[in-house]
Amino acid sequence: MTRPLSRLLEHVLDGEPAIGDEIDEIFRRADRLRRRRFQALIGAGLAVVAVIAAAGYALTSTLMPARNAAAPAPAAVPRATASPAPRPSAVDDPVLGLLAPIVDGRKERIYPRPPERGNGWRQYSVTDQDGTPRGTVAVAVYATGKSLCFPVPAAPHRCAKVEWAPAGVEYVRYDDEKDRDWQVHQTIARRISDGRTVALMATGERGDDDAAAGKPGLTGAQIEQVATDRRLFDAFGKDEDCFGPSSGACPAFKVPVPPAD
Amino acid sequence: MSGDDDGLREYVTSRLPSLRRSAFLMCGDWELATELTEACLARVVDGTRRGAVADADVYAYADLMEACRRRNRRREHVFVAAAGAEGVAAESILVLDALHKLAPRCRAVLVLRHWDGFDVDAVGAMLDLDDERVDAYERAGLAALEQLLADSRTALTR
Repeated sequence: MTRPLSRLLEHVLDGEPAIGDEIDEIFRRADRLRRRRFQALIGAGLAVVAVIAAAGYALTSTLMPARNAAAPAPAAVPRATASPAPRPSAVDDPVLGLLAPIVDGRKERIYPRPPERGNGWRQYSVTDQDGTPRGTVAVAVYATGKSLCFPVPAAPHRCAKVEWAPAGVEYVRYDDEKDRDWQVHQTIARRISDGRTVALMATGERGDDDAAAGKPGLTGAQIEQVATDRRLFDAFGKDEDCFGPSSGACPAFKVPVPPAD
Repeated sequence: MSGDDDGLREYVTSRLPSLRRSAFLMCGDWELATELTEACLARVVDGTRRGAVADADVYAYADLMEACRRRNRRREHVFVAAAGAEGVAAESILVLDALHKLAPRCRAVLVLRHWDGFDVDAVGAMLDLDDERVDAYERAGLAALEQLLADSRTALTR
């Protein structure tokens, strides 16, 4: 049936329309196909880049340690930097807000020192401009009630004679620079109006057997100035108390604050 | 097929009429046949420019037959004349009707073998069939077409 079928099909094709501009249209379509393929390629490339970026972000944010709560330890072994390291906001830490201007005035830097804070206490590191450690600053607040026997290190059962600062604050300075391995500038101050007591202590680097290296980052007078400032008492929360439930975490002071009677 | 546009234009010009006729035999609609042929040749041109086409004829007919097969599922009319065409003989309608009662692959084998004149190997390559299957489709298609045409003529003479 080969010949009959082809003859039959010839008749079927009667009335075939003439060819117009189909040739040009075919090439226009081919150009459109090429453009679409190029655009699809670009889109796929962008999608791949986006996926890689998202995966990278997810991986880094998952695997890298958080920068805030875990608190980096620049204070423990601060690195020398050409520009000053950023100081934590004084709004977030009012204690640091009182200490920082004095430290800055000495061309030094102060940072929170991990573990930097707890119920009733804060702890900082001081470095000089080239990053050399200049010891620590510790401060704690105690609810000592109506009276406090300021200790005398040399006579455990006696009370020290207090001095008075403006705004009803009594205080005693305890400076000890004889110990080459642990030089201390400390002040214990008590606010009469509410019986709150603060202990503020600056110590030099310990264990150097070097008087110059072990010199504290703040002078005794500067420690006294901050310790007797009313704002230091208010810099702690009302319920904060280093005699409280978590008192074990409070820093050790050269002259501890005795418990209230 | 050198890949340059002049060679491509020459190829397209030479193949467009025969491809469009084959498409018409497959779908029975000149407008649709033109559309399918243009799309098919555009893909041939695009693929040839990219160097992705080894045998343009095999690529073109295989693509066209597949496109017709997909379109045929939605086919509503046996025959759609071209706009402005004069009347078509009843015999042609009968042939198209019989052709379209065949399975699409069977119809494709008959069109490629008996209208376009390709050998069994080429048709097998175009439709992705082995030679035995092409032969089997051809024999079955011819027998069925003969029977269908005989039945239609009988019905017309009653």
